[in-house]
Amino acid sequence: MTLSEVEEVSGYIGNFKVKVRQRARFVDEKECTSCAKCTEVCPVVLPDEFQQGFSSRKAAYVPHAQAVPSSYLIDMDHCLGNNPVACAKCVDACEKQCIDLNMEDREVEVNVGTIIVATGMEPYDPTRLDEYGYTRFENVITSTEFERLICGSGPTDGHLVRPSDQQTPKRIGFIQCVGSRTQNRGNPYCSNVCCMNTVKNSLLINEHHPDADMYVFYMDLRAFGKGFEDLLMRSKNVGVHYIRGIPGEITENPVTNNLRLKVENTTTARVEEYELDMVVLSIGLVPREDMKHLSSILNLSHTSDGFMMEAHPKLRPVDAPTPGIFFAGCVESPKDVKDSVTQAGAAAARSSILLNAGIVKSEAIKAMVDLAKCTSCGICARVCPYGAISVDVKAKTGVTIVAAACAGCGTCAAECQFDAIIMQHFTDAQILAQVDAALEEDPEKKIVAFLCNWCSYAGGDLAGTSRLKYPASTRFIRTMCSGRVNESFILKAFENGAAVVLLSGCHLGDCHYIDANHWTIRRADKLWDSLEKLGIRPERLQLEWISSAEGARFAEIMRHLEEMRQKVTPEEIEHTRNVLAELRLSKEAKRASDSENLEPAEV
Amino acid sequence: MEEQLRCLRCGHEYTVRIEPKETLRERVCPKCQSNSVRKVSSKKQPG
Repeated sequence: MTLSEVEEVSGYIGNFKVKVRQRARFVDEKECTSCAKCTEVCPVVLPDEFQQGFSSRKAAYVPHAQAVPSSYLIDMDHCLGNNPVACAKCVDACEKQCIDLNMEDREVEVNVGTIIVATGMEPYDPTRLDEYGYTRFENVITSTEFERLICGSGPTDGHLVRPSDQQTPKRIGFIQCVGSRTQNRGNPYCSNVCCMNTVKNSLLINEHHPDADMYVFYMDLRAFGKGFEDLLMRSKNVGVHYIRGIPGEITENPVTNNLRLKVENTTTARVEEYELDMVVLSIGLVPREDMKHLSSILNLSHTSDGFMMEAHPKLRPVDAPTPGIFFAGCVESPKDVKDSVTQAGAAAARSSILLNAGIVKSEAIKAMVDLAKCTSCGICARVCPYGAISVDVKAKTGVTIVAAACAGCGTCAAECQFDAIIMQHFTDAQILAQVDAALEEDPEKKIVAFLCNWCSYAGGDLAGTSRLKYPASTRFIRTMCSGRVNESFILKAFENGAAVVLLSGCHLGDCHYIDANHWTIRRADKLWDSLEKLGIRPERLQLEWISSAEGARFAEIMRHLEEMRQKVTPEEIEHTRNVLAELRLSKEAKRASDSENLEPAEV
Repeated sequence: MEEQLRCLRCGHEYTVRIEPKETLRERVCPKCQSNSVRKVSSKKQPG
């Protein structure tokens, strides 16, 4: 479906309902023969987005030569109007009478078993990097603009000219990492494709203009793929100058429109100056602007760089954390054509496996509901990162959990105030029993650490396998997610005499259950307030995000916790135990009296 | 909006600026790098 936009996605693996808005094309695509008569008579002239504004298009147009379907469409945002009709020359010109200016958007609902997200990326806008003079100097262009200039089907039919005077540039500079690998002005990540794109472009120019002088200004060249190093060598061998240093500023000669660059060449340790006819900024790739909207309708999370987060970076790189959703291409991270094609093939295969099997096998760790305790308050549905829980708050009929969609993070169980959600495995009873066992002997000398399965626990594993030393006073309790750690587990640990309690999970944005650890931080905030009100030092509850690669950080945190434990006095622990025991007893008494009041009177 | 934060490991207090509808961000103590950072108060910036 082209010209379409996904508006809503509901359901779960094997049973997704997707609401799509198909925009009106105003041309019957089945009847249109692409004769181009509509575009000939159209009086509206606009910059051609596909050609990066180097040429123009009409309001009746085909987005680009290879567009599918090969049919014209009317850009109604710029058309002179159909209500009332102000022009309609295209309607008169169309012999097949396939233009309908009253066509309306269509809403289509489709049922699908799996979803592949392949929405791509956007190029970085270098306008904000004022030192390069992009948009101030005509002959400073981006690599995407350069692609159009040198393309056979581009605005100049592949003849390389510079924008200011349409002359063939003889001295061309490429500046690498524009908007990439920078902490403050752009993006901190490597955009993956720019180095090889420049190498390819330099060879293309050399093929057409062997006398052209080319200079590539770089900080590192990353030619890591198959055949990439050979390509780089070819470029160097044809005489392209590779200069290690990024220019600080570009200035323009107002008469010739030539550009002057000053750069510190870190290979020769000299400041060098260059006069060039044209400069190409090798811009990075950034996530699409609508990524947040897309992640909200698909219940997906993104990494700190803004691209979609995969289920596992090594073992499930094409799967989304939500079962039945897969990624292909730059929606997941910047990648070149080869990697995008590889990922697309993998996503299609992973999707086909599910569709052909017809059944879904999932982990046994799931949430279940005890309808007798459920009050239909809806908190569980609100916190579920997968939208696996539905509830009618008004009808109060209890919640429904779709087992196929539930990933077993346990956030719902931790948030439920009525103990109505029961986890299959990692049950409350099992975790509380571990707390009891951990603090059976000398509890005041112990630290209880609740660690999430995917990151913190793995971080601890790494610390162990790396033979890093940390105090032996900590007792680890593994949960699938830090979001599973119920307030009562922490209070139980304190009541049993633990000196310090650690709550630890994946870094925000890296949670394996989309954003379940957001509830961890909210819970910690709440607990710190409650502890303070009870006269317990909030410092004794620590919260740390530890990734599976942070073994050293894990060991360091354990050392800090031990220092903290040694400062907790026996009197403080005794006070905590008494306060929390009193609180528990009063809660139990209240619960007992509430249930008595609910029991029907005897007849 | 400004948020007053306090590190529960080293006791360092500091202020951060946050956008009203910003997604939850990881709190890291600039002094000891701990994540045990508690929100003490939040107030709107003048003007």
